[in-house]
Amino acid sequence: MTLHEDHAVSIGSTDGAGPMVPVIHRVVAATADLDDTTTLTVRPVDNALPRPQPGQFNMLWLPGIGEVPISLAGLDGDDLVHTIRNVGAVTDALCSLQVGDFLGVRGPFGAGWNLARARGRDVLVVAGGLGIVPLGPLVDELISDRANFGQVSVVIGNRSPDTLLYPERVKSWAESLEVEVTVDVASPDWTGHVGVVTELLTAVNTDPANQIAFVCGPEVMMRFAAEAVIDRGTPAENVLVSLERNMHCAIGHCGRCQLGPMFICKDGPVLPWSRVDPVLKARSR
Amino acid sequence: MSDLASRLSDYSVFASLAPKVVAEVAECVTEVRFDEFEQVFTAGKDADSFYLIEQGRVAISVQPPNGDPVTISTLGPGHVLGVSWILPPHRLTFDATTLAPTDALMIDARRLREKCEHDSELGFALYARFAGLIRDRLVATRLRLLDLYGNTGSS
Amino acid sequence: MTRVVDTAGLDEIVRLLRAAGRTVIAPTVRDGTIVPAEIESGAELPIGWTEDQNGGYYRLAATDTPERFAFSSPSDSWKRYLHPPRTLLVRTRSTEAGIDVELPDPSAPSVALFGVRSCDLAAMHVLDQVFLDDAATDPGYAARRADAFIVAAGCAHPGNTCFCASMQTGPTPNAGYDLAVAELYDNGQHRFLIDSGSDRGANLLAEVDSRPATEADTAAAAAAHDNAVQHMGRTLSPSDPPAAAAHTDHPRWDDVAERCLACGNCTMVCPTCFCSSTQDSSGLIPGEAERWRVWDSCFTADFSSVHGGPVRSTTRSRYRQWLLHKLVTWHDQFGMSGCVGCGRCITACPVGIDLTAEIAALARSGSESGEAPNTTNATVT
Repeated sequence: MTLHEDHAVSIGSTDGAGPMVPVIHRVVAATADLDDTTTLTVRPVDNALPRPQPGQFNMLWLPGIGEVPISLAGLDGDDLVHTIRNVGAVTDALCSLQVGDFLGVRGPFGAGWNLARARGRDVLVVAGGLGIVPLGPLVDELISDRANFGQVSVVIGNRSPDTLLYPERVKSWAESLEVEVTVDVASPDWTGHVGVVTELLTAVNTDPANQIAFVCGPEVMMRFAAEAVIDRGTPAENVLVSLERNMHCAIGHCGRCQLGPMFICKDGPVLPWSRVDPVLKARSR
Repeated sequence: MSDLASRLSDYSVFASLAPKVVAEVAECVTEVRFDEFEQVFTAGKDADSFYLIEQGRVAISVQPPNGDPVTISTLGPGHVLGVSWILPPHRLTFDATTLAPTDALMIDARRLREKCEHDSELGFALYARFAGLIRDRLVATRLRLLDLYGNTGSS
Repeated sequence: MTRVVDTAGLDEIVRLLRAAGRTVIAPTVRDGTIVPAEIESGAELPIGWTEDQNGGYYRLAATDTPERFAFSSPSDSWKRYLHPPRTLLVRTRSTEAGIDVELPDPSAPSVALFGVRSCDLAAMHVLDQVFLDDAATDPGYAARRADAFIVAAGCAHPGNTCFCASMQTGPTPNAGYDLAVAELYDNGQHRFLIDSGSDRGANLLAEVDSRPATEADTAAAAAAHDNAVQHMGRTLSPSDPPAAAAHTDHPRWDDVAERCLACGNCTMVCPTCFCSSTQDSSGLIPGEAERWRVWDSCFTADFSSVHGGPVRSTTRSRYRQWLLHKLVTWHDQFGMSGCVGCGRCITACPVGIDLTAEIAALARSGSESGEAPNTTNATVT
């Protein structure tokens, strides 16, 4: 069995009950970011789960309703922060949670962004829409460990200015990093970029030959972004993307998230484009 | 390579072209500067020039009969502003307005077209490069048509 | 080392296993098929029965001998006894103070799996790679697996749909059992050669009346093995799966997709298909809920759904996922094939799709196999 040596899967249980038993957490903060998107901060009632890395995910569970994989949006001290978009029955119920409500958490699961690989190099972060969520804690870590990286540029694509997630956080990133935000549809008062993220890649100041690119967004956007970055001279193995697939167990047992030879839950969700591209290309129809 | 030719070669449309070709283009360049919110060109006018943006930001927009102009896309450093000059009827299709003070290299398109008429190597090189530029813009436009960041949920 | 017992000795093994508190699961005739199910004595083995299997076809048939193992393999696999179709994960009660999580009673009846064919033994080894992963072990599977006493049975009667010899998983078991039985019936002599593969197997065997095997016994068993190898109903060339994997746009995928009903029967009877869904449900009592793990199939649309729809929306893409996972990417994931050559998927397929025929056709290039697809396939989506 192949596992990334630096990303050993840790099982989502604290007491030997087995990896499928959720650990109960309490909601300590709930913020509506957008009409359909909510950020929850959750704290373990008893034992804490292992500390997740940026790019990893947890399974969030509501008894009798269901469970969904949600990437780590950040850590607030020891509390887990998750941003959830309401796209179905389970996420709808999660987005409706109030402070004091309980939920189950399993995790952390999967391979994260592997920031260690980017040390001493330039870093290009490309986020599209909700893709900013798993990249957020990565950018926070880049800033807190700034001296260990070369040029760091963050390119964010979004549908419109008013649906940009974490506007204040993005503003604070821009104080220490090159940050460009582009939108598909501009409001009249918007003086920022209008267009797709790929069009901004010519303008960023990272060295394509010596950068690690971290890309997250809708799969179609990641394909175009990855190809644009590679066209500019970055080797495909240095372009990391985060994939989304159906997952029920998150530990390679349920089989649902398979993509070619990979289990997205444990070999991913973060994978180099060099591994993903051939499989996605072969997958048509 | 002259300083100007080297600056031209920083733009993908002119990068690694034969020095002779770049030198022909360089003969058509004027450096220009626009203030914030200044109109660079207007839809319907003759496309007698195009621009290589060095600094600043320019909005490509369309003016509806009522209300504010709608920005279709923005261009910044490293981008080419204006492609209508190369194809008949050489007429501008959209408005271009700066969103910030903008430095650019303005190219005399009328003169460059004349050069192309007499120099097929130059003409082919520029047509090929601008076809690539138009392809990239088309791909980007199609990507936006997908509305990728919209909520695709079935809830 | 090899011991020999008669039919009474074989029955005694069943009795001793039951006396030790084990539920003995063995091939037995139920509802017109031979399936692994609980037996109370050796008399319930399928004495005098064999079966006729083919693509989409299964019929019991009487033999004129008292053989216990004259069939190929049970129509259902042993999977359900290690990886049950439904497993309760947790039961919960939500209160003002939190969510009480109650784990199911981990104790389960101790079992003996009696008469496991070599292909099915190999399948258990395949499932071990999934559920005994060091990074995430399924505690229920681990407990059942460690407990299960396994009596393997060498196969002298491979069926029309068998190809374990191709997959190098049989027909004679060589590891992974407590006891291994080889039935010999010749010249009116009925006997069972028995090898032990563990201390507990050896201890049990020591309690049974037996004699040492003679050279003639072992020679007869070897001949039965060779004969079985010669009588595999199907073959699968090891070079075909990688070649098929390279042809992801082969017209044969359209062809098989036209025949496949996406019913999932193949995945249910497959001894290594392990996929599942996790299902949450509320009880009638407010606040009480349960989570179950339930077998699922990659042939369902829901299986790969993310918000917006399934990733594999066509039968073509699902059949390809199943076949190439089973025969190709399983090697990448687990270092072995996911197919053990038991042939159950061929028998259980309502339209008789035969993976050995599909993989052979897919391994030939699209132009070479131009005779297979018909022109209407272009409209399949």
